[in-house]
Amino acid sequence: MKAFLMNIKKNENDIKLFRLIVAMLTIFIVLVIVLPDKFLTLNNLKSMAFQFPEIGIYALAMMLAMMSGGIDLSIVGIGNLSSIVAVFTMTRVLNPETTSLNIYLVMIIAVIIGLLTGVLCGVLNGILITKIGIIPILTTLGTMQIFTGLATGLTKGSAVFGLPEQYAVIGNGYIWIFPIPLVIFTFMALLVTFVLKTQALGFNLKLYGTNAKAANFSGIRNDLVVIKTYALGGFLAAVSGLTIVGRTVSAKADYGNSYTLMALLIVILGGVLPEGGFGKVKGVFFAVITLQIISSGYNLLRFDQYFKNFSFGLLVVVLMIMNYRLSRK
Amino acid sequence: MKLKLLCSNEFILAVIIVILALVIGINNPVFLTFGNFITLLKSSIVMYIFALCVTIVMVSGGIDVSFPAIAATSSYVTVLTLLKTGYNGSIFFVFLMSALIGMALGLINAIIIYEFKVPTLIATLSTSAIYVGAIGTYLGGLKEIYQIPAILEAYHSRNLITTVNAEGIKFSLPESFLILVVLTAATWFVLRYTYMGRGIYSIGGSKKSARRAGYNLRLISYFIYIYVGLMSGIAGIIFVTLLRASSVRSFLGQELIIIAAVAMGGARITGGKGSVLGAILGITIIVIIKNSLILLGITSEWQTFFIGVFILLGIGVSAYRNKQIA
Repeated sequence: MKAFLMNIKKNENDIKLFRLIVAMLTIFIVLVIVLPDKFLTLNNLKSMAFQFPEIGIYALAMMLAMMSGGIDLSIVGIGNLSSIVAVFTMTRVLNPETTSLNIYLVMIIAVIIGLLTGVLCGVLNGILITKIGIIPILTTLGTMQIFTGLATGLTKGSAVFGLPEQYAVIGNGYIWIFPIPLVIFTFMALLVTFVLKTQALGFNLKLYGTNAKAANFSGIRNDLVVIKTYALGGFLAAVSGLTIVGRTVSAKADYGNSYTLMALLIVILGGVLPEGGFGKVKGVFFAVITLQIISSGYNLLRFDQYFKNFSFGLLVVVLMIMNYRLSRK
Repeated sequence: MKLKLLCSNEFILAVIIVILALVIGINNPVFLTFGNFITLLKSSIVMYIFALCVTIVMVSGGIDVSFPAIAATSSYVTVLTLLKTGYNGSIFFVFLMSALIGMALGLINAIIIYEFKVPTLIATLSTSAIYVGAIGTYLGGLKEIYQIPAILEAYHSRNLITTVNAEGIKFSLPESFLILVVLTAATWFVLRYTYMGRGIYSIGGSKKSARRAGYNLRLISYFIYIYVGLMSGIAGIIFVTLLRASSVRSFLGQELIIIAAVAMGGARITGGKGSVLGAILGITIIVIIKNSLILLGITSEWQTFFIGVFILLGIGVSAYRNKQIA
């Protein structure tokens, strides 16, 4: 414990994470005290575990883009487009006579096609950024319109139904006692951690985000790093989109519109530096849990969406101001 | 000199607009009528004012996404006050009240951005959530007001020009168009001819050099965000009078498309570059696409897609040219 505290003093970023955890625990304890018989129930914890993975995975995608010094506003567009492509694949191929085994086969193929769509969208972002030279925020602003627009055009703006009921397991089922969305989120968090900690891409990404010129001179192919980063982001976005399909058993061009900016705030809250170079999955994890605790607590207290946004905005501003004071010391 | 003009972003945009207008006009002559022109202009007054907000911030090297939230908040509070008090005097005071509220909210942005060095996008994103969240929580902003105060209702029917076409449909340009003209001229003048304007370009180019050149960065930053607040507050009231309803929600979600349009007009998001004319042209393209694709036989479901394509084309051409030069 002492060593932990000593360690904290050394590193500014650890202090931020520490503060976030303290904030999270404080809110948690307050809610447990205020709502003794409602907050700490199995039902509430369960519903929390089903809700946060979707936005959590989007936030991971946002984190990767931000670590490269960019931003990805197109994640929700990618998620919806990929899920619509996957759903179309399923509904076009399947008919009432399809045997159960074949249903699973088609589902797997459709999911793979959906994920590929996500990766392709990410690659397009990366190419526009590196080869054409449009800065990330504008690239993804434009592609957000294009992806959402394609999704709207393909579906004529309405929700697509007709999924096999087996697919609903992804959004509503359990593996032992763990909700499947939570399992998916955990896998994705581990995947991103693995890439950042052990792969060349992770190392190059951090170097590129810190100083692109230095990265270039040290022989890193910056263009490829950016394209791969956004491709991985696209993959994660597609995973989130396909998870949402599992929960709602439908796909629509404008599901989760508010998730984009929410993911951005989560990432900032999680201590990822907006100028690039630094980010930790841990930080994003605690940030998304904090948000979920606030959000569930408010639901139980019957506060509305507006108050939620209000206090979440306030929380980010306060943390940013505290971080600023920290960096001045 | 001539070559420079021909290669300028503004010129290219103007050419795109003319081509778009001709293509749409040939397919559907309705597009090139005076009535349609007025309708387009009327529906885009608020967007143009928002574009001015975005331009001034973008030239300084920031990104502001809070202008719709400020417009929604200040106009909503003003409308509520008018409904409560039943005030029926000069419309000037109505605009003044909304503008003042907008300026106060802009001041909060400025403090967070300048004093605590919070990145502009994050700061304004958070304050948007706070402002809208606050009216939602404390003033019941979820409700939409369809019975707007009499004074705004009266302003709604004050028009500059009214024409009637062959089929007897009336087209009218509201008086609030004048406000847009004044704000555009003012912003252009400020950016081009004043200490503040030169300071804004200078900050956008390099903060360090701006400081060394003797610019008062605090003063300039406060000016930018308070001025944006002022324009947003006014735009909010105009929106209510045009729509004849006050709906907080219909403001939100416009910010990104307007930023994209202004960027298409040549403003660089990293600062130091951009012009009022470019912003106006950028918005014009978006407005034409939004309202007129349907005249080309492209259904409304594909609207978003085409707007995205045009944005990327518009921004991509100049970005690619810069890349080749560099």
